[in-house]
Amino acid sequence: MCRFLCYMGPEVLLADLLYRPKNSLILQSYKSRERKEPLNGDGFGVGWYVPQTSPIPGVFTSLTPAWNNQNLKRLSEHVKSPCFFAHVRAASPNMRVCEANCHPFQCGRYLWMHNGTIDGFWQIRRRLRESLPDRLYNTIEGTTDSEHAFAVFLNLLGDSERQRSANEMGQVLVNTVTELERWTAEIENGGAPSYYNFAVTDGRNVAAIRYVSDPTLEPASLYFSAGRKYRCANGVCELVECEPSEKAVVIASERLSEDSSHWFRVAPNHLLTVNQDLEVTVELMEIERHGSKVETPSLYLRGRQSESSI
Amino acid sequence: MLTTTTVKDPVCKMELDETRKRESLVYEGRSYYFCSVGCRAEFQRHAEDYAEPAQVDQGVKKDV
Repeated sequence: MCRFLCYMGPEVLLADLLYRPKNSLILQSYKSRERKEPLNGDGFGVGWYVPQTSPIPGVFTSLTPAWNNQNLKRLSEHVKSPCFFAHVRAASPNMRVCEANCHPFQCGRYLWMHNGTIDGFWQIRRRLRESLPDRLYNTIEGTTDSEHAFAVFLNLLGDSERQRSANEMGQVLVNTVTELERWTAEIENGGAPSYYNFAVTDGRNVAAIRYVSDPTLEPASLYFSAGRKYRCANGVCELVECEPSEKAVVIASERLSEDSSHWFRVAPNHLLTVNQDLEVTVELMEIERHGSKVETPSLYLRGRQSESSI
Repeated sequence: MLTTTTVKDPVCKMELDETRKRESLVYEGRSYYFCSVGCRAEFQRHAEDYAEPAQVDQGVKKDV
């Protein structure tokens, strides 16, 4: 499990979101509030877009803990971007701690991050890889389930040069989860839940999901804030009202500040998309489970009314 | 004229018509409807965050 952050809006200094908020991503790298194990020290990464320079994002990853990397601090005080992803990693068991396994993963103009684990990844890995064409198979540099899931996403996306809408990207993300669920459901002796908090962007649109394969369980935390400006001044960072042109969207594993009225939990097993006009849509993910051996309530029994009290 | 009544899922805020009310529960005497098992489970975990505040006083607003 890990922690991550996505930003879209007017250009912002990376440090304003990475370091200055009261519950900044850097703080979350050693003192996460919403994970049982608060440490996320197995490397980090930042990917950011500079549209005037290139549609392909710059990426900086390192194996050092984010809280202790002076280069990240120095760079983030001088880099501005209208769209960036940042991630602090807590490696899952049996996942190597190496730079190639640090998020965000990049391919062409796309960035990808994951907070969670694919249950039974090692049992489905061969099958997953066999589904990929050479051009994507050969882009996989690391060993994580997350990077492999990115390859599945890119494969389902098709021509990655063609511009997609936020809605199209979101649908491909849902199809990616459907494919992973289909493979993991067929594992012998499977049954542990998978956690898929994925985020993907092409620098213009963002799609993210908060998902757990057993919907009665709590997925990893994920929040968003929209329609306000993130302002850091005199040591205080807050979400403030602003002109329409200043509005931004922040998606984060944890609220960055305590003004909880401006942060919304992404509903479990829902897809969140942000388009170029910074319009946010949240919708239920329509996932089918084929041959699952796990007894989980179906999300898709229309009209079911299990009236009960709590 | 046909009219459709919808209710709002308190977790994901989606407007639910009859075909989309897949789950429900009663909390402090009030019925809530959900689009999915996930939203219902989330409500159960954090009911105090999602439940509507109790309507304490329906009377005339008083100056204090």
